[in-house]
Amino acid sequence: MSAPDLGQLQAAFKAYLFSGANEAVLAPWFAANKGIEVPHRLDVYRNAYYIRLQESLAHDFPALLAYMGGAAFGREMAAYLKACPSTSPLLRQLGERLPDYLSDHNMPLLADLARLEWAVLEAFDAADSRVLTVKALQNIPPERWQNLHFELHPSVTVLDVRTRAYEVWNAHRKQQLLPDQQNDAMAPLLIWRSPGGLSVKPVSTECHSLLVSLRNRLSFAQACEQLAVVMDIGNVAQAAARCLWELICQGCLLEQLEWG
Amino acid sequence: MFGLGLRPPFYEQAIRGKVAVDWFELISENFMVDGGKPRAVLDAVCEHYPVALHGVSLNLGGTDPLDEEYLDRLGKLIDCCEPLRVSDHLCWTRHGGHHLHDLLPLPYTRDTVAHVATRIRQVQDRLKRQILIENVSSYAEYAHSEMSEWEFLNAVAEQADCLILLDINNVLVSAHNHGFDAYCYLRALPAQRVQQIHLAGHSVSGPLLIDTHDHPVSDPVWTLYQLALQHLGAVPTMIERDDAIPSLDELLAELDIARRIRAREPAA
Repeated sequence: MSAPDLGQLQAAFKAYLFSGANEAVLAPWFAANKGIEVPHRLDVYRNAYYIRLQESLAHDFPALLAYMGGAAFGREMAAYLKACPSTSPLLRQLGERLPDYLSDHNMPLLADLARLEWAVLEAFDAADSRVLTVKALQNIPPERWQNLHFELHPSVTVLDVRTRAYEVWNAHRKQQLLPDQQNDAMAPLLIWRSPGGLSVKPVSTECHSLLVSLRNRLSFAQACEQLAVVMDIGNVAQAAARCLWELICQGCLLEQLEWG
Repeated sequence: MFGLGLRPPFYEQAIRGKVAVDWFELISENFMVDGGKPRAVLDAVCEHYPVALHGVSLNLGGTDPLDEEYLDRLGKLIDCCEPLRVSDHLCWTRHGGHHLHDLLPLPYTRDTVAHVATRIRQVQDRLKRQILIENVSSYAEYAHSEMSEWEFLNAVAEQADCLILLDINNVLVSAHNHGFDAYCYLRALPAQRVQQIHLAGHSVSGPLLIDTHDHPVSDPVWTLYQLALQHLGAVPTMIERDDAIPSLDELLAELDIARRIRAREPAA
């Protein structure tokens, strides 16, 4: 058998790691020294590939692992790795497509749980930025409020969850049993990092509306118009001020403001 | 000249400068993030210790083009912490855009030497510094290899004009798995190019040794370390531990063994 070129060899090796199906093609390119059969030697690489990557996913999605159980998690992650092999040099990015994968496979609770855990990971090492203070806000001249743009801190994620993923995540975090009774109210979630640590909390409809508007880079005035869609217009100003206050106190807004 | 691989259980002590080591080695990819705790740890550790950067995803032996974005990130990290040394592995880790997150073996051929050396030169030109390449543990050898592993390592280092990070546990593991003489390997290395040594533990899996970094350094590795120092002289040395990580005191006690072995050897 002629020697393969390097690219051909690596393509075959990769295919073997992914499925093992082409072992008969790959094996003749290796030497069977010390009486140890080549398939046994290649097994070391294939086993290590799946073990290492599944361990990484287990580390990044601990609540998902706890909820699914080890065996089901292992099966699903092996399927995920076959469908979505890593495309980043950083192992930390391995689970990036897991929420969409679970969603595409009609597992909405698992998808929401993965989305929540991924947002926590993203918040953990998002860029550092100075946050807006109440004092800085008080220095804004009234005439500038009309065109004022607030920007969310890079660690902030706003999640629309349609399942009890937060309950599952929270029970795991507190090492509690999951309540049998389903909580009907599926509030949107706010995930962010502050100097005090990582936080996840459900937010009101009004705050969610404001957050989505800010995420979509609407001005504060436009965000208030959007608020009027979800609440009585007479209460918009008060609700907007309350939500803005909360976001500032939580360290969710950037110090840098934009006008116009 | 003795260091440890910086791992999360030691972050708190390291950022307070309370660990009795001369330097820390950081896994480059763990700090290629925008901010948050990893970057804060990096900044704080660098206030107390020199660091070396050790990567796992440079894919020096791959046939995919070198990853420009990765090199950008590595360059920024180098600017940020001004490391003593920058290293990665003599292996391939990616193909067809897919990262395999493993240190996969290369055939020891003249063509591969030329291919890898060219890529190392590109990396060195880009980073404006020499890098160190580490020998990896292997479990299978290609039938069409034309030279021994150490001849391959030396040829790549020579053609690329790069430096070597010698992992003595990897030499032992590969020597066991393929039946070559580890001492022969060590004696063949160019002393002027070996600028760092890794010591680690391994596991036994049937007839093979596996490089798991989850055990203390074994006695045969200590023996080889002593032999290596006789040939190479004083080389910055560290313990790598990635799994079943013991207390810091235990690792420091292992590092003391390395110090004692070094103290027994006359300067080369």
